Amino acid sequence: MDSTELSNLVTRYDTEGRHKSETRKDVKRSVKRWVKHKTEAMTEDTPESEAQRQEAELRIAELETSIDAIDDEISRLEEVLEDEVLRLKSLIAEADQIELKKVPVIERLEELENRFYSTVYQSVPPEYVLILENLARQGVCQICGATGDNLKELGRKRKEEGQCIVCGSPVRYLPAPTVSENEEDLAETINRLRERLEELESEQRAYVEVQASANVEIKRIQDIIGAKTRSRRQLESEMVELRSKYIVDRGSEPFMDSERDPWLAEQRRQIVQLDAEITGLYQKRDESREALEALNEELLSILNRVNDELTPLFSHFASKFLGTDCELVVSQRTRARKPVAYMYPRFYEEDREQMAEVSESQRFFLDQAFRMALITWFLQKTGQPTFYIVETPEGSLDLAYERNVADMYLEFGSYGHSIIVTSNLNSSNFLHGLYEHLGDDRQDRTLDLLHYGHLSSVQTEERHLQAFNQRLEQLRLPLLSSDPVAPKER
Amino acid sequence: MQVHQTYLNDVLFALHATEALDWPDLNRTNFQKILYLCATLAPLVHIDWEYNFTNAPYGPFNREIHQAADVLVHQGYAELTGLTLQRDSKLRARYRINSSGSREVDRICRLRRERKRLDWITLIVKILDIYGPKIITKLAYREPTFSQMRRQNRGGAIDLSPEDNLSIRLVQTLHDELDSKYTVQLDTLASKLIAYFDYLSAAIDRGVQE
Repeated sequence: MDSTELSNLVTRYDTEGRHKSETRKDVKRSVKRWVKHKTEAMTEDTPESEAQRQEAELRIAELETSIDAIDDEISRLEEVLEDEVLRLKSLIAEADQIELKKVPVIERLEELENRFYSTVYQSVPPEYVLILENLARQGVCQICGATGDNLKELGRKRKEEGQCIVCGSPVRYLPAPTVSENEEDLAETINRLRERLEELESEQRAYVEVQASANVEIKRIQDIIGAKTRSRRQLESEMVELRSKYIVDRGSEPFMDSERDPWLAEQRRQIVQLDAEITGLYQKRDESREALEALNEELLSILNRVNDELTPLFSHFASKFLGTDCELVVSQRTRARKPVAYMYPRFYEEDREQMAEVSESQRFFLDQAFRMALITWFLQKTGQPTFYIVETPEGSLDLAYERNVADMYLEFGSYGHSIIVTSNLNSSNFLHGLYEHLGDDRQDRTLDLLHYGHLSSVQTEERHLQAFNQRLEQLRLPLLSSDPVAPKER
Repeated sequence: MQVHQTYLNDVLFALHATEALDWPDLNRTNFQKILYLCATLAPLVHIDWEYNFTNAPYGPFNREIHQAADVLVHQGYAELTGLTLQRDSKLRARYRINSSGSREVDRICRLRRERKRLDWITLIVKILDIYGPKIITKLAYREPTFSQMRRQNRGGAIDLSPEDNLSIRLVQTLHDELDSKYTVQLDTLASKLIAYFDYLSAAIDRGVQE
């Protein structure tokens, strides 16, 4: 069974189970009404034993309805809790991602700051250099004024062995660093990195705050569930106590007496049957969900494996359009308590999980890049090139991207695939970009519908004709004639 | 370099800020107390101070700050204006920034983060100037977080994180109380700081300043 079928089964069994549960509630409410009505109809003449039975039965019916209501509420809260826990997990994962993004920024910052400060604070102070050099070259001690060749020797030794002249500890004795780079640029780079780090830290703080509020919410829901569970236990205890007391007093359950009424007996039978059906449906739902989860895990592992090969291809095509590297990320989310494996793009270091996180044209061409990557991956696996049809891709493009798209298609074509593109004749750079690479056989590779279609005044009127032909000439395609019957020039 | 650049920068900035106000020089205790007050109030301007002070017998103390001024002298950015070897073998020294140090401050402040620290230290020093250099130590002693630690006889690092920082709470309380009871609005950072230091200095014997 595939993922969609399993997903549909989960929904179907869950919905059917809920419907049956509602039906059972209706039956129980009817029983409660019936018992209440019967209790109200009792008179002073009603035997005491019958009155006791009626009261016990009414109370049990009330307790059952209350327990059902609590069960519904607990079930709803558990769903909310599960969503909240998933949200928290996802927040933790996103915060971890930020931590990972911080690492290279911190490392680079540390490296650059060390470079910057190496020109501010020397490894040894300038007067140390003076004392050491005088000792090694002149044999003069600048501290106490002593002189002698032995001091020269001492100075050279200290310098060569990199030892401090005062305490003999290792010291990095280096001449003042020569600043080869522009200090302004270095400072500006540090400032930019510092800003980036502060942005990441601010994002991280925001995540910590959201995580804290998610934790509070989880705790709140857990507390409510706990309180509801305790109430349910109390009601159940009361029900058991009531039944036990009745059995002790009368030797049978209160409902045993009521079985004498055919309507009530039928209601009881329905409840028992619905109980069994609901349990069965929910069991099937849970089994289907488990199978779906297992399948999804398998799918995730396949996607992860495939992604190693697919991402470089996707990035190859997508970067032609975007002008930057683009990766594919494999992830999983839960919708209506069902796991869904999916892939999304990441570029400029931002995950684009939602449609609104890319522009309309980016969405269109990322989709195309993904298809091209898949086709190329199949080609690599099977050795079979294929074809690709796309309709007026230049439609939603900014001027700057028109050539990029042409490059993306040409790159795709270079793998041996055929591309069938429809395009309007317009001022777009897209066609120009494509035709530049078609060489001399451009006419053979173009199905010029202007050549076959019926031309109206829109094309043949002089001023329009001139504009059309100007463009066709640029593309080195056959020109239009003002006489629709006359053969076209070549 | 033994001492991390942040300590060296901060001490250099303190020297630079006080020189601009014609303070003759600073001793090691002055650096500790000025920078402690800067660190305490830094959450007001969202500066992460990066290092801590401990509750030492003579007030808030940081070992790296203690050593930094001497390193600056060796680096040629500050000079000693007085050096005394006491009978108990302790060195008493006073320091002043020199022209080379002032030039380095300009260079270092090409980094915006350091510019922000310098501006902050300068602002605190300007406000301390109102009360005079001689009561800086007493102000640091009266700083609420440190003062509470002393009362409780607690040792160790002074916790200046925003949630445990009593100075920040005091600034907020002064702001709220003055506003609600006297409709006095502390609407600038400087006005908040002046109210805070006025409050701290209120109980200090004014005779010390003379």
